[in-house]
Amino acid sequence: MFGYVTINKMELKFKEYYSYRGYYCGLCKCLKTEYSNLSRFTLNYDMTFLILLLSSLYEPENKSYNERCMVHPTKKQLVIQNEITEYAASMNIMLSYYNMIDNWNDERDVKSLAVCKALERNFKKASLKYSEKADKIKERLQNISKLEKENTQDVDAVSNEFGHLMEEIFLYKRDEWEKILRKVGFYAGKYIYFLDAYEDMEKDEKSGSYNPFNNLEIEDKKDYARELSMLNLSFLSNEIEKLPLEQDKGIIDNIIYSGILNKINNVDKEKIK
Amino acid sequence: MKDPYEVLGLSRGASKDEVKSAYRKLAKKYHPDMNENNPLKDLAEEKFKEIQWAYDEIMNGTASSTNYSSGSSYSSGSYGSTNLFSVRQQIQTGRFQEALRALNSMTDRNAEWNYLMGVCYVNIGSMGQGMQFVQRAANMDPANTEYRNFLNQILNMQRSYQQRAYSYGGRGSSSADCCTQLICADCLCECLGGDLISCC
Repeated sequence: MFGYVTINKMELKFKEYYSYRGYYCGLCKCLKTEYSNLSRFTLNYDMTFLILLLSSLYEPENKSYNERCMVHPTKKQLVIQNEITEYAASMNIMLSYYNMIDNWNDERDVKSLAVCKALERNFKKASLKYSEKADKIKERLQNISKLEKENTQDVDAVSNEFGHLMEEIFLYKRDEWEKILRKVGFYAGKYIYFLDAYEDMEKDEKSGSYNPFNNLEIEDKKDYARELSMLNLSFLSNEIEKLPLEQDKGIIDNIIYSGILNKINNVDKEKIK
Repeated sequence: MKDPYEVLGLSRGASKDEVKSAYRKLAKKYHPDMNENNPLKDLAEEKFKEIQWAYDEIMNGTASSTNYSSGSSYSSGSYGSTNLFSVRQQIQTGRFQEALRALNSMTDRNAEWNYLMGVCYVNIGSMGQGMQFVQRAANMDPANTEYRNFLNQILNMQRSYQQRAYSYGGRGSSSADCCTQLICADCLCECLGGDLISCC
């Protein structure tokens, strides 16, 4: 259910694109050094956004270098890392692990179980280091799973749980930004949940899997799903604009005002096909 | 009370970007982490708190999200329901779950009740349901400015997001992109806004 918070590459300046790629590669490298080579396959754009946002807010010292890697063997890539990269890598591991468990429990997807087993050691390391976060993530996911089993019609209630989960992840420090960061994480999480559900409406209908939008007793469910996602995005941008962000603000704006909308539009296009 | 703009060394009417930039410069200078060995550490900390206060004051002054409720002019006499008055107090102190529990136990579901339900829902993040309640309140009592202001506040937020997104897409993108964004702005107005506009 990840990868919805991303850039619109065509609208980025070259300089911005390289920075973005640098953070992304930095996260990937960090997954390798702190966890395992395999864990790099769990890499996702949502956590790159987290790094971008927190780096812009706290402006920690960056370590940048050029390096080759297995994904790009021919050309050296810019890698940017800072203290937030490690945090995001750990969050990435925990989220992916729980997501795989979820897939296994829901759909008996054997591939997910295999990845889960392979990530087990990494997960233990991450959840030991960030035990408070791990507990909260687990609690929220249990709540979601309970609501989904009850086949709830309450789209808000179930998406709020995922919102609260992301809220914990965005809360890097408990300082003067806690209130706003919590809200940014909350609305980002809700958006991810909405878009994931919106994208899967047809698939879930066929397979009979839970989907909050399919359960609604209204005529145009798709329209409602879309509107709710859009309403949520305006709340998200309203909170982000309250933060004193300057560094990489162009990339953050690109994601919030363009990349995210492209994702919604792509889901729309898929539906028309 | 001090003028928050003055604290940041700005004149009133400075743009949000200017406020952010001024805040950054001053915060770096006075941040406790930067002044650990400074003999005037306490003074710096005080200054830092003041800067933080000024920043929050300006940012929350125009578009407050922590509390989507005006309600300051409210007096219990004008509505006559003591129950709803205590719910208002809960909302003002951020106890939304408590307020929701109290509201759910009430049987008289008038416009005011619908409005307060909506405010609670929006504040706990259930915006979809919240907007429906506030809309119902505004339909039941079209003359009420508080309900209308609340709806307008959220509608304005949506509009400003749409506008930013639209002008962003316009920055050298293909016409197809502009179109889809126009359509999506239009859809939004129809779903939530269409009804909203009718009341303002």
